[in-house]
Amino acid sequence: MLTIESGAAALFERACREPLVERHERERGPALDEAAIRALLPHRRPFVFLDRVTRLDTANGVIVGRYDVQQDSSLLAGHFPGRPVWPGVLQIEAVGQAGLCLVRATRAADDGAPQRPFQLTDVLSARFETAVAPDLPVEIVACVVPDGLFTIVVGQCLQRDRVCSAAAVRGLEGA
Amino acid sequence: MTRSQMFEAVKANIERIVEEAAGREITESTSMVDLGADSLQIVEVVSRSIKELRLKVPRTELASAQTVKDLLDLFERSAQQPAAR
Repeated sequence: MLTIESGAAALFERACREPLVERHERERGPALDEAAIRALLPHRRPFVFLDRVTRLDTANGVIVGRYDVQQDSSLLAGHFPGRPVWPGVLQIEAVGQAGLCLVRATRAADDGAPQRPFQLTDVLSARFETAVAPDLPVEIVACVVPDGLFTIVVGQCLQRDRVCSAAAVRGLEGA
Repeated sequence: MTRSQMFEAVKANIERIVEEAAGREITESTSMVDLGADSLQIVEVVSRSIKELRLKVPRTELASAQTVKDLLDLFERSAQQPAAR
């Protein structure tokens, strides 16, 4: 049975309770547009859940992005008819993608080395506090915590400065 | 840190991570694959061990470690060069 490494566990508990980054700090930049995100992520539309990055802090291992949930209208039509909710699995995926952006931007800043494949290995924990409404953009905050050979990403989805969900995922670089 | 301490750390992590290892003897010549560990379990054992032993081992060298002995040899070399990455 896997447990979350202690530093990441405390961060996850905090992510469930409150925004990990204050509202005024979440748009401080530097920003990344869609092209810059595409250069970091192997994902392509319709499976990219970051429209832009509003804050990238490689020194402190923090990234903030935004995503317009309305793009997934075909999914929302079935999840659920008459009561659209952005699926929880996509919220976890969005946190993972934001974390991967951060890992790769950090690597590029550190040594400019070529990007290596990154394999998601575990969803360590996830909690869904409030449904993500389809008519508002969602903010995705993610932090990276090294864990031996692994990298843990702890993040959250926010709307109107409220925590909708928190997730902790783990992956392996160079897998 | 002695080789014996490294062995105890690796052995404890094998027993913790690899369910199939329960009740089986683990020595330096033991192969984790032969114990039934899959690739992710092997990475988990190595990852926990280097964290506990506070070692930094290049990922590229870990791929060549087939047995517990190979791993301990690698750990010993890394322990002698704490600043190496």
